[in-house]
Amino acid sequence: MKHTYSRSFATRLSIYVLSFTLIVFATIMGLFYKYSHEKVTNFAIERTHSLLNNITTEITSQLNSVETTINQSIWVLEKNIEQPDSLHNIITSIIKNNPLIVGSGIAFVPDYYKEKGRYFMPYVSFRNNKIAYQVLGSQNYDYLHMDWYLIPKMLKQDYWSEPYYDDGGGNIIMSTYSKPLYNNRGELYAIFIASISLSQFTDNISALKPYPTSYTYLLSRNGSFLTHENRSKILNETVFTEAFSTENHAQEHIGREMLAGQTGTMHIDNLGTDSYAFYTAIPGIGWSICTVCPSKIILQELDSTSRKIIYTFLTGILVLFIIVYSIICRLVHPLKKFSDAAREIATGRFDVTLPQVHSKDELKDLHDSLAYMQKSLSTYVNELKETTASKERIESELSIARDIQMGMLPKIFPPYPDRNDVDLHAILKPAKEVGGDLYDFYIDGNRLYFLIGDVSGKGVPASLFMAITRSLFRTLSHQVLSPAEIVTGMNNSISDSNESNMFVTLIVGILDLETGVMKLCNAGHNPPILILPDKHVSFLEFPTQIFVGVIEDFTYTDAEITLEKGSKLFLYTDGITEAENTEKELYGDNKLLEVLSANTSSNVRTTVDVIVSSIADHVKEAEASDDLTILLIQYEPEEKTVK
Amino acid sequence: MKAIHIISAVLSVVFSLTVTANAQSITLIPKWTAQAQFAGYYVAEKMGFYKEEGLDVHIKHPSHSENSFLYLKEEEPQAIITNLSQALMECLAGKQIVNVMQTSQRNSLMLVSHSPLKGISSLQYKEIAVWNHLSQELLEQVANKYLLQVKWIRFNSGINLFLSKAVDICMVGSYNEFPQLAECGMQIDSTHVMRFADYGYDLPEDGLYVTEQLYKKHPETIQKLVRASIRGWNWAYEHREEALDIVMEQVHRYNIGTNRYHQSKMLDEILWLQTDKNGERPYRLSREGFNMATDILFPADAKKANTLLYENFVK
Repeated sequence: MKHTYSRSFATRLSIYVLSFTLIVFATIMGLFYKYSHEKVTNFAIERTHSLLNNITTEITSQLNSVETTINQSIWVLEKNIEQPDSLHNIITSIIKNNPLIVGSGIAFVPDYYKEKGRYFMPYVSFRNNKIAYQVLGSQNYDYLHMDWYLIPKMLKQDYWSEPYYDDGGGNIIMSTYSKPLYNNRGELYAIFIASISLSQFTDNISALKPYPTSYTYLLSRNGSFLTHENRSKILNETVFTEAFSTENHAQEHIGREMLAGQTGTMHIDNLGTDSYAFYTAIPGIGWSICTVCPSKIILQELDSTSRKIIYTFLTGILVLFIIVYSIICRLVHPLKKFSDAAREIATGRFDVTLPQVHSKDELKDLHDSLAYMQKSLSTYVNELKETTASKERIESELSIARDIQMGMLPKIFPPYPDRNDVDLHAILKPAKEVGGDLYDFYIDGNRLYFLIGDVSGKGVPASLFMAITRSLFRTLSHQVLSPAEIVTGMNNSISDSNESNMFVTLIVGILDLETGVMKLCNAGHNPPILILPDKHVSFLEFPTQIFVGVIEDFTYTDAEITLEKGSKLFLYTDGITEAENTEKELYGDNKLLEVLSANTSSNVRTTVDVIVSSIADHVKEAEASDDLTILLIQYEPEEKTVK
Repeated sequence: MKAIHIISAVLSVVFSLTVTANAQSITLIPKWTAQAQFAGYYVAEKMGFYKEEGLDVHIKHPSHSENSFLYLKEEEPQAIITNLSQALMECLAGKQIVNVMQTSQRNSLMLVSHSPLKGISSLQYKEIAVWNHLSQELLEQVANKYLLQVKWIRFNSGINLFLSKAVDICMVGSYNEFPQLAECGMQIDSTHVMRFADYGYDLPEDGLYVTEQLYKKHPETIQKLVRASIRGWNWAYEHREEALDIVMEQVHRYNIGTNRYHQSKMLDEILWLQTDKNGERPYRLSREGFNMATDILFPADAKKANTLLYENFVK
């Protein structure tokens, strides 16, 4: 448990530190990556476009050289137009002058030279380092309906044909430049052509790999592949057939952009590979070139650097974790000792040695606080011990006092089992160990002397006052026939030396058991209740006089009634009627009368028990606030039961 | 070139002598180079349907610019695949040929245009690029039927002429050049397209023809040829991908510049063109189709003479 606390504290603190560090790092890393990503991508775009520009510039310049060669030969052709058989010299010199040109010819309109027939096309080709001359044009070689002848004728402008495979075999891609020639009247008389091999371009483009897994392809005006990684697709597939068959919408989109002669960069999903496409057009001929490169290749170096930074950081953070953890462990180590010491102190070992602290920080404060607590606790506990001992002694004495007090009261019931003329029962429940209530009775001859009283205050002083009161009753009642005389005697004795100003309310009565005549003197006490044999229950109305112990030489007077046989006299202290429950509701006179009315037939013990349990029901959990005392006397009961 | 011609002529004579000896040996001459247009025949050969009929069929493609009729020789066991219009024009010119099977039931000819086409009147006084192999008579009959005065620009093949915008209106086939336009990135909407079929020129196209002489001499052999060819086409219809594999084999064998995507589009269209108005594939030229063709293609005097009867032409 102790171990867990210290470990969890160290771990938690370490995690807080590391989490914060991690968040800061992640933020910095994110910003770094975003910024670098943009820079690297822009660099890749610039670099690739620069390479593409170089290649398009080169192609354009070579194509221009072909066009220039033809254009520069037109005047020689015009000069020699009347000697058709000499024209091969012109086209031969074209081939010799421009190494790019592998074939050149002049296709005349039908019947241009009557003597040559419908077709006349002197043509020179350069193949296998040999220059070959031939005259083309026949039913089988009807050039008049061929694209290279027809299109420039219809368009009335020069034209680069769609690339095609060389008829001579091999995989040489060719394209033919056609220049329509017009006479002075503006009539077309021939198409001047020069065919070139595109091998040089396609080889250069195929070799163009700005990044390791990037690839570059060249498209013709119609979208046909002029270069492709898969050679079988060259001139057989277009960028769209490939896109349609693989459902590569990105490629289709790029294809359209390229054919529209656009230059640009597109971030695409190339069949699941996040890629960039860089494309640009080759002006004048309508071809377009595109380099496709997976993004991860472009960002490879950045990703690799980022990974290295992250790994280094994670290693660093692990080391940091270990260092932070061990530092915290070392710092909290005295705390563990303090914790152990505190536990020892808690078990009562106040002399346990606290760990030594040499620093002047919070730990020193803790040490001092603990030392102070240790000392204070020690003093307090010693004082507590003494107090406890003293309290125990008092409690013991109080217990003895209670025994003595209870010993003064008659407590054997029924007290007169042999007599038929009277039955009585009494209880006294002090609110504290000892109480200030009292009751007493005795029979002298045929007279029953009885007393119930309530001393002001509670506890030991009240109990001592009660003891005095009871002793005075016993002493002063002897052979006296008037309760008022007894009470007057008691009042004088108590008032004489009552420096504590205590007083006692009481009722003293003498019942003549032969006649049923009962004399009563009430000194400030609750009026008793008379329960008649006809079950009538009521307070016994007679004068109440001042309580005993306050006014010396006060003369009390008697009241006299005659009890019918079977009558009961219920005497009680105010602890009965003023018993409170938790809601501060009093038990009350009415409740008392009600319960007594319901139990008129019961004998004295049962009646007292019913009243006691009725009060207990009323009070419930509330603490007893006053002593409870009942004295119930029945004159000449019809039937006496002994329990 | 001449030498090659002589050698091939000699070889073909030798070959024909060999095959004449065995009537079950037949040369099948498609009207064009290898492509999905002839898929059923390739399938029948490859899957051994011809062999099962006891036939030894050789498929021999012409080069682009050659008319398959140039190959047809009366004394040889040959069958050619050609257009109904072409065949009828040849008949009119005196060739004794019979139609033994008609695969196409619909016309594939279309006109595409850079500017919108609003019916026949849009063509009036325009330059229209058409294939060079179409006969002048055919073009004239078409022009007459629709009372058109147009300038036909003849070109060999392909779509470059149209794509380069050298012409505004160009003839294309629905199964070859038309899909090619899309494959070259062109986006054509229906307002730039006219199908001949929608304007009453719904002439069936590809059919299988033999000389009348051959048919009379070996009717059973021809029936076997037709039966196996139909089986080939039906198989191609039911097994498109496998049929395409067989087409691509042929394409590669003859080193034809094309691709599988294009051939698949072509096969789909060709198979559709083989269905009649009821959606069935009868493989036979209907009298209605024959009459429509003669009505459109034959000049008035020929019609009067009633030179060609359906019963004689279709077997």
